[in-house]
Amino acid sequence: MATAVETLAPPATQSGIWSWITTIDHKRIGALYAITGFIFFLVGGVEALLIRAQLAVPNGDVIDPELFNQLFGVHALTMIFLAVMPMGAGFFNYMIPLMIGARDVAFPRLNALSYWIFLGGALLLTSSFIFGGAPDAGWFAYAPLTSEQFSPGRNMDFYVLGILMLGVSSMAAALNFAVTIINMRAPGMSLLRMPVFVWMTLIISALLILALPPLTVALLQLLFDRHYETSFLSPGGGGDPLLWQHLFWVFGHPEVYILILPAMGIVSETLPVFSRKPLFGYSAIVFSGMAIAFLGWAVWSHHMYTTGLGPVQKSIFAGTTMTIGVPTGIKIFNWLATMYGGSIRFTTSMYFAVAFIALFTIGGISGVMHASPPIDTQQQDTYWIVAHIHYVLVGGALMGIFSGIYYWFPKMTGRFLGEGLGQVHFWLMFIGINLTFFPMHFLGTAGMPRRIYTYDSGMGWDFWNMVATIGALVIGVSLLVFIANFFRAMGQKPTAPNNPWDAATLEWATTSPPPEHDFDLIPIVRGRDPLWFDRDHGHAPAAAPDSAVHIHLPPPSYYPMMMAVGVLLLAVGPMTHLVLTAFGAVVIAYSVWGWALEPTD
Amino acid sequence: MAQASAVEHHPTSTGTDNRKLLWWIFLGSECLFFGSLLATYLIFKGSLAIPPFPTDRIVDAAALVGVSDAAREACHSIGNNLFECEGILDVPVTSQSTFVLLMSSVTMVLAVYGAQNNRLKMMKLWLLATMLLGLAFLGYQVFEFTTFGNEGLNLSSNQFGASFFMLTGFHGTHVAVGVLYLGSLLFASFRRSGLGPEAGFHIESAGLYWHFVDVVWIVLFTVLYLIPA
Amino acid sequence: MASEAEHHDEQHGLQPMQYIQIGIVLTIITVVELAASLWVDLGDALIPVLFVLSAVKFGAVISLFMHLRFDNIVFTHIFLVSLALGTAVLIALISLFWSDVTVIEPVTGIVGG
Repeated sequence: MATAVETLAPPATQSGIWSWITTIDHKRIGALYAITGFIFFLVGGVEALLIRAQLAVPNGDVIDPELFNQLFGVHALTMIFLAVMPMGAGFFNYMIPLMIGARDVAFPRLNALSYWIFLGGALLLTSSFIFGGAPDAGWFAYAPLTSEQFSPGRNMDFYVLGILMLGVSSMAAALNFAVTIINMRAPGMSLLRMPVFVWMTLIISALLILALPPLTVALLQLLFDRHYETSFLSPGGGGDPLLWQHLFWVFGHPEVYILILPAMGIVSETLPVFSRKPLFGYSAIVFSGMAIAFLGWAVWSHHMYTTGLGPVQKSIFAGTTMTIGVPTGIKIFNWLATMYGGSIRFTTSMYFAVAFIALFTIGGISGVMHASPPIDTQQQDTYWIVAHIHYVLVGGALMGIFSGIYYWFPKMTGRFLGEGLGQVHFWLMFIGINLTFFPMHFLGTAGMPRRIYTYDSGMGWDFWNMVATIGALVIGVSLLVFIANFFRAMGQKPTAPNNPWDAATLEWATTSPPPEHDFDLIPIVRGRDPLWFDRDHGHAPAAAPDSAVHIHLPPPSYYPMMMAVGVLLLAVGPMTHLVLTAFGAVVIAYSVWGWALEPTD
Repeated sequence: MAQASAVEHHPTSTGTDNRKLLWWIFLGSECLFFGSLLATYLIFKGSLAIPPFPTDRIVDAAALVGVSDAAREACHSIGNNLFECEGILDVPVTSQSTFVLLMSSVTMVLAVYGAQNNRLKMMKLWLLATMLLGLAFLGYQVFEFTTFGNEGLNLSSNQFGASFFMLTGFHGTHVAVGVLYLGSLLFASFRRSGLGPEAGFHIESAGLYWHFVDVVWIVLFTVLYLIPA
Repeated sequence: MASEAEHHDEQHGLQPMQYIQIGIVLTIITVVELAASLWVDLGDALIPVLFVLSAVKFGAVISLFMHLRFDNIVFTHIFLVSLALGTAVLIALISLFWSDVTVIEPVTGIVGG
């Protein structure tokens, strides 16, 4: 009997742009997320370079103050919402179904909808530069700076509506992945056999699902304040600007864990593989992740020590903030113990993972420092804080993401990123990060405030600002090396075997790149590191079926894309004309109806 | 012949239907949404300075400066430069709408019962009843909002107006979405194929949403209307 | 009931009459709440009484109408954890604002009420 495996997807959908628009394949959506995220990462990087160019020398005049304010606001929004989160989402989409041994996510069309709404929100937010000015009040957009009185232009409208759209997209994605992970695991994969990356994704999904609503409420209040005459946030009308800060940080603090937990999950995959040793303290790492997610809800006011909280409140939030360092520390020691005694292979992915631990620890330590209210009062709004967040987000989240890119690239494309260029990329980036962000500690302690567009000579800030700008350029060059590496790899023939790194998780059990239906046979999980367990206990890989298997894949659909267009129209309405909102609602209603009646078999 | 089934019909890890799990997680998220709106309402309730007030209050003349005529009419001088302002909430009327929404939950659960037991006429009848009760609730809300507007309460009158209309308005939006949801199911059930073999599931999902909206109102009615200042 | 035999295998929940009875009980509770709030003076006991009665209504709807009692325990866990977190955030926010004189300006207009 033949061992052919047939898929019943309509043939017209295999290639061409229409196939990407209508795709509901989690791997294609993952690739779309990752590529879009990387493009926006470059956009955010150019914004950062402009900022650094302006600050390189005292009294710089590269850009004017208005543009500077827009750039630092949009740089943060771009990096957080349009680069790091989508690149993480790219990995979720591509890897989660493969890692839990499923053929797709629980709701493939909802997954496509998440991506298209994300793209709409991202374009809306970024288009603000063309249509009259980008958000210029920082990513936290403190009231009352954002009220109509102080921000009469369209800038903050783009912020409100763009972030609302991105929130809807994240919510849909998080619901989808929570259900997928809870319900779609392969036989034998109990919760405590799931790879740590899957665990972290589940935790991130829970955080998004629960933390986005308070942000949504805050954004709606801002929207109503600006357009419908309420005054929730403006003190002139009896409102309270601190309400915005509280609601924003109720979301904002879980959000920083949403940014860092994917990286923690990725290095928890790559460190054991390249140390040829199972992860040390698996349960401790999983439960630390849960503890971080839980405590992450009880620390938000540490962003607000200088707003006049009482001593009791400050003490409580200082205590919880210091406590949250404990599970983080547990993870760091477990990663170190994983490497200890292992036979380490220093691949580029491993370099990035080790650098993640080192740089994230520096960022973590400066974080614990400003858990203390008196110290924080000194550091608040200085470059010290900028140094801290960049060590955590660039040295942490981004290093983790690059570790994942080098690790999973063969699985996604069937090709290897070059190790030689990879090493150049790593060392340039590692040096660049430290050159850029370490001096910011000195600038912060020397009193340089955040968000100033220029400064006078003689403050003692000149030298380190120049160093930071040079470091930023080095990071920029390292990314060019990475891009060159990417295109060089894509030009080669796919040669990657199923499991080039001798890794332990299920995504390596299928071909590189995986077929559209992921697995010919749904794998059976017998241990925590399934492929290593089977190898060591003499279980042969499941044989291909000896008769033709019809794996029925759901057909592609254009309704997700259509609905996302409706959501975009809905969002543009309040800024332009409410007719657009009504039209958007009609488009959404039509696509919901079509979506519901569309056959999925 | 091995026949692998389509993605959405695999037996699941927990034995629960994916879509039902999605609904419950989504409702969990909604708890945070209404929690944040309610927190805003309660935060401002503590510091209301100018009328209209939710319940009766005595204020001095300073509180009436710059207040709209309609809101001022509710405040009567009681001498000594003090004014007694009548509260704007009309608990008896809202009790009626609360009763209407509560009854809609009963009719909804009967529709679910009909759908799950293949009694399609019963399902359609009770779906229609639920929709009508939902519309009645919205009618009460339109009446209430109009009355409050005439008495000087609007989005810009004071923090009570802003947070009250935002909170109950978003609840009303949820009810309206629910009416449309039920209406589209009712419409679809008259097609030749009806709601298909999963009619029970579809109506149960709509029921989860509808009951949740009712449960939110149980909380809002108690906190907003029944608990005095 | 006559239709007993037609029940699906996966049928869970109560019978129509029982749902109607629950509806009547919920109505009675609402009337009691109304009475406690408007016509009977319970003093300081009012707010706890209202909370308990509302919680009973809340629990009845989610466990019986929404079938939590008959369904997989996973749903109950998910919903109650979210509800608890929402309540905790609500209480934390309110107490942060109500306890801090530097956040809420002292009210000038109100003498009594």
